[in-house]
Amino acid sequence: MRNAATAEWILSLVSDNAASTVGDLVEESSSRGALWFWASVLRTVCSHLWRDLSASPLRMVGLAFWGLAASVLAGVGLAMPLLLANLNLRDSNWQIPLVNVVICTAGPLLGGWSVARRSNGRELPAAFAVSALEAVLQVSIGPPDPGTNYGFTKLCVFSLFVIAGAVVRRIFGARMEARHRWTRYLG
Amino acid sequence: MPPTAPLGEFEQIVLLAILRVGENAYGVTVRAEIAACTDREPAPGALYTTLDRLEAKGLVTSRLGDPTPQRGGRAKRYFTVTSAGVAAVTRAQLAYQRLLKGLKFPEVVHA
Repeated sequence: MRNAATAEWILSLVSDNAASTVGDLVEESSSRGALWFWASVLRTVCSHLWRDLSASPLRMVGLAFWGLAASVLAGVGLAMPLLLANLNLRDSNWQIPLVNVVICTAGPLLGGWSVARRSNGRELPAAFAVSALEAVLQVSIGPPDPGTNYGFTKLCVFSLFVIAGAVVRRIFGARMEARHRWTRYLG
Repeated sequence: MPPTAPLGEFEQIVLLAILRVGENAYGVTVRAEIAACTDREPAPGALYTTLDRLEAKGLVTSRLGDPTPQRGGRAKRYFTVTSAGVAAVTRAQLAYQRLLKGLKFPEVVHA
């Protein structure tokens, strides 16, 4: 069942026993329907997220700071050449929107990737912790550009890209692991 | 064996449900037993995180069964309560009984 495979993959981001859990939900959903199945998957993911965040809060705070720092450094690092180019071409401002795009997308993506590398199979809670820290900082020190009302939208975009970065890292990690297994097997 | 940390209410319910179900205790049957005995249906997420926590505390052990077609080829995860788990749930229930001792509930007396 394709849906169950997707659900198993999503659950594997937060649990070591995703297959048996999804098996239970598949078994029960035969009498309860697809809506119940997906609602249960979502609630199970939320429960595991909360468990991981609350079980080791210090580690999650550390990962959150690491992820945020990585996304800021990566965003600034990637945008710097464009900013420098903009200084040389004073009559052209085409770089500014590009700088914004780089800072708002590539930075969080790399931040998510970086935090996922350090999360030991708990990519989703770690990415969630980074987004939560960003939200706390936005509320406590205000949005980076006062006068605009884009704070919430920017937070959503940031969170989406951090989570996407963590998920992409998971996919690459699984592929690299599979390749390593094959190399060992053939070797 | 050193006593474990006190059990929460839901942890006790899950341990007792596993003991009641016996050898066929896996997610679906444990949930059904809890629903039948307590008239409340636990959320799947709450059950699985509690089972993981109990296993981490050494109060239950789990083993994978054979994959079955009606589960999309996925194995069942069977749970067994360890001796430490039995001791922990017994201690918790004895504490409840000591608290109840000497108390009179009007609804119960006049029933």
